[in-house]
Amino acid sequence: MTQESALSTPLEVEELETETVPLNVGPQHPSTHGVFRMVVKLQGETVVDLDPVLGYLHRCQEKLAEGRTYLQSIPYTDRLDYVCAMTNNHPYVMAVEKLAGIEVPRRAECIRVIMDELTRIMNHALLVGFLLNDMGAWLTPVQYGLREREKILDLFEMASGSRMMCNYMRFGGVARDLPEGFLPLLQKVVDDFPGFIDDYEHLLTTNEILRSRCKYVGILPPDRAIAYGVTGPVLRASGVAYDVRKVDRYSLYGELDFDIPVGTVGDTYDRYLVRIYEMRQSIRILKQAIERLKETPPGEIQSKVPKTLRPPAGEAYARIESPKGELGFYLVSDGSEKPYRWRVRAPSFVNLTPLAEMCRGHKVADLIIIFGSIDITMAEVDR
Amino acid sequence: MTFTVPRHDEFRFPGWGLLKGLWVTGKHFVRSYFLRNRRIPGKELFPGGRYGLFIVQYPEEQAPIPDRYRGLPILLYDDATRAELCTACMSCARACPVGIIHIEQGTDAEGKKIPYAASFTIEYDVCLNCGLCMDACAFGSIVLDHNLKTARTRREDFRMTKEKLLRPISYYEKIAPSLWAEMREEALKRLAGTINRRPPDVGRVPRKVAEG
Repeated sequence: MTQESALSTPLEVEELETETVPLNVGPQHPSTHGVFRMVVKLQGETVVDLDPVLGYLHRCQEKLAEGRTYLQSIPYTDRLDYVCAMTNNHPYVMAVEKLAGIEVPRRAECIRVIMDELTRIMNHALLVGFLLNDMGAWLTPVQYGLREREKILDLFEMASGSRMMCNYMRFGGVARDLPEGFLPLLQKVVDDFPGFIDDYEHLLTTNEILRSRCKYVGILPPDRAIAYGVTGPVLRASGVAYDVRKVDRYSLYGELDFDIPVGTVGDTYDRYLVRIYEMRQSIRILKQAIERLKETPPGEIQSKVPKTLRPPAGEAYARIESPKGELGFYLVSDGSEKPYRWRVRAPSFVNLTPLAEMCRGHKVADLIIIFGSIDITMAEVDR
Repeated sequence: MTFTVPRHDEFRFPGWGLLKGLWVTGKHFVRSYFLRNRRIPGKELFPGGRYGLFIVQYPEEQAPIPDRYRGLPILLYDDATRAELCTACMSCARACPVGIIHIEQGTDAEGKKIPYAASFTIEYDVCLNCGLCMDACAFGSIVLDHNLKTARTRREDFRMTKEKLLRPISYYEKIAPSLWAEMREEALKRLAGTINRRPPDVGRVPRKVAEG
């Protein structure tokens, strides 16, 4: 027998019967970003099926809000997605404004846009860091992200009084005008941030390990993404240019000039890149919003709103592009001071639904990365 | 309008990406020996940009707390007259989303209501630090403290009675000058009216509490 033919004949192995192994990931697991449980069926190292189990962090938030006045629910919206409290306030106050027909002064809109974009930058910087954490680059990238987030949290603390639970927006405007010394610091963040993104990109984007771990892992085709109702950076990474800021043109976004980054493949690498480019676009938006803010007279931050708000009976739905996707609030009023129904359309929850489809056929280690790249906060998923 | 993100599929020298990353971390490593971004009270919040050490040695030094910081609620009284600003109007108790403010209005011998709080309790352990009570108060009486050391060992210690909540106006003026400047005029005008509507020596902080 020649050497060649010896190599090409497979070894004679007795056919063994194989079985799938169920593996329980979570609920208390460092990679699940909260309390989330996945029951994974494994064929060797490969994921065959995945069954998400939700509800460990359920706080009855919607029911709680029905027992409170409209104003008293604002602190509760902060606690939906605790990473980006400002963007949680925004759709809620928009929904109530729609319901009660309240006008918002231009300065308040500028402040809201600034806060929204700062939140987006902060969320993406943090997420990219934690994605690398899941990948095994333990703590170095996330430290850079946390450092930049700290500067933005300082700004939030100056303006609203709290770093994470901001509770800053009110019906018809914002709680207080920007404090003295806020704008120079904001300008500093805006000026410094492109340098930080460059740092991040030098560190990560072309890194061989990151590329080999991320490329073609967890592909979500555009048609499936649309079918699942996925929104936000995950949808845009799949190649669908859908952004509520461009579609609805709410607040000030209609007159601002910015682009939407879109991915081509829809894998984890595209989701990472889309977020990096979104941060750059947010800086562009911030620069324009600051210019517009400077043109408005200081002090005009809230229109007249009755102290006990009793919106007329009816319903309203308001949505914004939160860092995680389309965040919407659906309110039904019966004319009393408390809402009849208070419903949240949480992007984290909807984006989580295609997880099983994205994970099928990948290894267990990839499962953690795919889960991390969707960007979810369990507090928002379970509510 | 929309643009496609570049996926960097072109050929690169193997290891080039790793070297670039090492260059970034190395730059930060070296500069951290020469730059120290101290946060000094009264100075800028984060001087120095992207490089350096961003560390505050907490118990020894403390990062500055902004005026608007929302801590736990406290009650104010006037330094000179020792009169409490609170009139027991209940607007803070109604505004509180978690309902942890319990007020009992004081009455005189005939049972007529007097504008002062006979008892005022806040359950600190449930407080959301949302600041809605402060926004609701028209008298500038309930404000938010800047105290960071709020840990207690027993749950009952979180039930704060009026004696534990009262602080002089001068204290609040020191920690949050800009906020007090906004409400000072209105608060003092209303306080003068409140004192007139109260019998003498009612709703005053005892000298012992005020000094101790």
